[in-house]
Amino acid sequence: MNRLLKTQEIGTGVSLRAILNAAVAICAVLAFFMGSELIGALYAWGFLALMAFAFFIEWQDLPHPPRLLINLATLAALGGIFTRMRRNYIIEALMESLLLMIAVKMLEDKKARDYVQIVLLGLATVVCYAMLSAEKAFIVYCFGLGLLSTLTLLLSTWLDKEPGAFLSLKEIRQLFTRTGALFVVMLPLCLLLFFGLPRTTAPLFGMRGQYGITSTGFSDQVQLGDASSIQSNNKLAFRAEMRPLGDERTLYWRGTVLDLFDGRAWISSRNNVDRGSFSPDPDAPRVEQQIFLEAGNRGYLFALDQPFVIRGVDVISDGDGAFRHRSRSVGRRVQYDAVSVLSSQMKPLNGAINKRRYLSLPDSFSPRLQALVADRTRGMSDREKISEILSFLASEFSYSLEGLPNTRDALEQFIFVDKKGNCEYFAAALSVMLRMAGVPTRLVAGYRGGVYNEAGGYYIIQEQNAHVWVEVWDTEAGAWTRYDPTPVGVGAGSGLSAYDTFALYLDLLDYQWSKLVVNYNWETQAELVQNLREIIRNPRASLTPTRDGFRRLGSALSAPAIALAASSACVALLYLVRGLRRRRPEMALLKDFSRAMRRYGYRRHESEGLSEFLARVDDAGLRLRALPFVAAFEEHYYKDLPLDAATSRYLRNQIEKISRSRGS
Amino acid sequence: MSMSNVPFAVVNPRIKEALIHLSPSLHGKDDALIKVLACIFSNGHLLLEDLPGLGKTTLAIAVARALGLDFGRVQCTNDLLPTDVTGLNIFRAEKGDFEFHPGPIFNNLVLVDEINRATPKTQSALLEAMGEEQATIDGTTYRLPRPFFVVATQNPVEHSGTFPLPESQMDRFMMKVSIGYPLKDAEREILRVGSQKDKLSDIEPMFTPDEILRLQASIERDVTVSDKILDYMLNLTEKTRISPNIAAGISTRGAMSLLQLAKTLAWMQNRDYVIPEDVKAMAEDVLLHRLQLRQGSEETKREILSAIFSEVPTIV
Repeated sequence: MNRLLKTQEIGTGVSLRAILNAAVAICAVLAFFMGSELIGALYAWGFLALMAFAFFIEWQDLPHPPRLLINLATLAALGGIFTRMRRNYIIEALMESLLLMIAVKMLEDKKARDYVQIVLLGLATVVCYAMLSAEKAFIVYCFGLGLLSTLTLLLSTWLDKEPGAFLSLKEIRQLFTRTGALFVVMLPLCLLLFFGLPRTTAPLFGMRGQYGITSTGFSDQVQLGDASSIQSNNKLAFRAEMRPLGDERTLYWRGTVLDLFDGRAWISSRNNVDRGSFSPDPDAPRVEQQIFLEAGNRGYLFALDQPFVIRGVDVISDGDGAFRHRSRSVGRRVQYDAVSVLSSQMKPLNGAINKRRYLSLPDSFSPRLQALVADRTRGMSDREKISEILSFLASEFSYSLEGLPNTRDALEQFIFVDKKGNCEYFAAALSVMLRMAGVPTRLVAGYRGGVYNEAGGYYIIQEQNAHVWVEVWDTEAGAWTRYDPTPVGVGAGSGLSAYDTFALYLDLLDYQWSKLVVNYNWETQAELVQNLREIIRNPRASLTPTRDGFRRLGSALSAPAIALAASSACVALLYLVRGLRRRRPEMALLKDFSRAMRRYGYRRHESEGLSEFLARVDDAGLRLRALPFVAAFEEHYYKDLPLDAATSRYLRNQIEKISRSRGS
Repeated sequence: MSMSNVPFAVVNPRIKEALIHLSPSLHGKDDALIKVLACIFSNGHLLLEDLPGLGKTTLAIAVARALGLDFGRVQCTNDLLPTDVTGLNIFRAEKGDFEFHPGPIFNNLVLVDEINRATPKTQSALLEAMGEEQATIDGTTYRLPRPFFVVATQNPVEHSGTFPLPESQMDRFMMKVSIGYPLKDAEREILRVGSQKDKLSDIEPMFTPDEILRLQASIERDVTVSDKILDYMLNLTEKTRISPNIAAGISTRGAMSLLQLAKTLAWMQNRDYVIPEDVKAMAEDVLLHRLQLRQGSEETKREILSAIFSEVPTIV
């Protein structure tokens, strides 16, 4: 910057290199501002020190440090950063390394390509920044760096050809105009990318396992004994954007309720029994979730136990806190909002249940098991019976996905022989045994656990998190109470191994992709427009939003989307205006003519013809000067002649003549 | 914005010549004369609404002379029969058959004086002839000479014993104009010079009927009408149709007449394309008698039409 001033004083113009130095310096400062919230203090000060050093070298025209030395030091520093990389510390680390590289580049003796590299690094920081921040300042950074990079690209090409070039002030002015124009021309590309990308519902990254029949996963019936082993399946089930909730193993995602047991399978009697709704516990914490459900979940809409509102999709409530999409098999991703109360107790609205239904078992089902239950629970209260059977299942049984009973009487086999199984066996055993003891029960199928992606602010729930648990009727409380007989620590949370640091980061990209691109639809557009309108209508309020409102805005749109939408809107508008001009060049001419005449105080009413307008011009000289335009224009316009370049030029000249003779 | 401001200057040499040629005998009737000529070259009929004694007949005879047209005259009374207009078959005893005696309508230019005094039966015979350019007498259809042009007059003040023209018949006239009182200077000149009636027969014809037909065809063929003008006119007619004050807007025939006249006016100004000013210039004369208001006088009609013109953009 100072160099710029120095050269101006000499009066020979500004050196090309000075402008480039200034441009990359601004670029570095912008990058630093973006990174300052994210990087550690040490890195921030280090960056500033390096920048100051670079500036000092440039200022004093000192020799630049040798490249080899710089590169080695950079590699060492980068190594240091990467060792600190953690699952929830990716973007920050990336930001640090980007800033480091910018600072180092600034230090070098820069050639044309170095300038380009610096702005490219600057653009990379914008991308990183967009991942983490929903600040509106993002737009400033985005446009600022966009302009700077355009300018730098232009100048560095020039520098390559003419290293010692000096620019006059007029040239600089032209340069900036051209840069602005180029930048505007570049914007449609963004638009094209955003609107033109194919709306695929397939995941962007093929990082997930194959989905097999005998693998873990959600099913709307619990069939015992049809497979002896189950593969673990890390296919993505859904993502839930929400605040993190403590222990991941206590997260139960409710899917559907299974109340009928036919001896082998638990199914839902949804279609033939009218089941009541429940009243949410007013004291229990409420959690809002925005859920992005992958395709192929048979229309069940999952949410944290117990969901009581689901919005944003065509939803049917099954009662019992279970929801379904109206079309039974949803062949695409679905996005919806859910509100849940975090409570393990569910009170029916009318306070009572049809006990017979929840006690029913097939006739003379497993006398052996009945004898066992009768023996163990004789003379006990309901609650004692529950804890007795739970402790029975906890004492002798173990969790396994292999060596499962696959006989017809799988439940007996599980309880009396194998004593190992997955959640289906545990839940079925608890439920059946309690029914035998006279306690109403039902099964709930869904998911348990999940992995929280800190960077994205959402839970990842995979098919291997699929789970079945039991709800037992507590007569005293008048509520269904959740019991999970499956040993804790297995099943849930095991997805961690599959989701290493890198995978989590990739998942964030995939998430953003599906959110912004795949799920981009009319509603999103409407929302974008609505939000932009808010910003325009009340910029002050929208610039200092409440934290909640901001989070909501951010989660709904995220800053890149806003920026993209804003730039798209600008471009669309520009194109519109240009398009209008292009379609009716006569209108542009007419507008200029009207403007010229207005300067003399003559304003044409739109219902006036041109000759009519001219006839009421008192100034005979002006009338005479305007006549050629009017005559030529009318002839072209009303004979539908094409407005060729020559005519256009002629008409323009005539307009200029009207203006030029002014005052003479 | 008002239509009366629209500049109109005859440039076409033939028409200009005719105007100069006629002006000595038609003091202060230049405006009406131009309208009559525009109407003739647009192949339309003219309704002159004026008080008696303002030179309607003089105008009609002078124009007929100058254009080299045969002139016929019908003076309407309430006992005028259709055959008095169209002509009739007369039995000739010596030959033992009927001979057709053509009426005054078998002329190029027919002046129908005080048309509203004729009975509806006679009016409709006349107006049918105007529309079809033919007359049917006793089952035989006779073609009227071409060009065929009717100037009808009516007295706007006198109402007793008249049969006002129905609206549907009004639509058959391309224009309805008034000559009005002459300006003081012109009237002084008329008084000084005295009646020119006998001199009218001295006017040399400047056109022939064939030439008029040829010119009509060339106007029809050679003057370009852009879709922009059509859109402009459609916007205008639409406005008259949706205006809450107007009971009946401009008919399609009305719009066609206006367009035809606009072309003629463009031609009279030596242009081979129509501009909105051509549409506006004589729009009042073409449109006013076609509008029917829900209420209000002739003057409100003028205001409403003017308002409509000031609402429609010329360049769309």
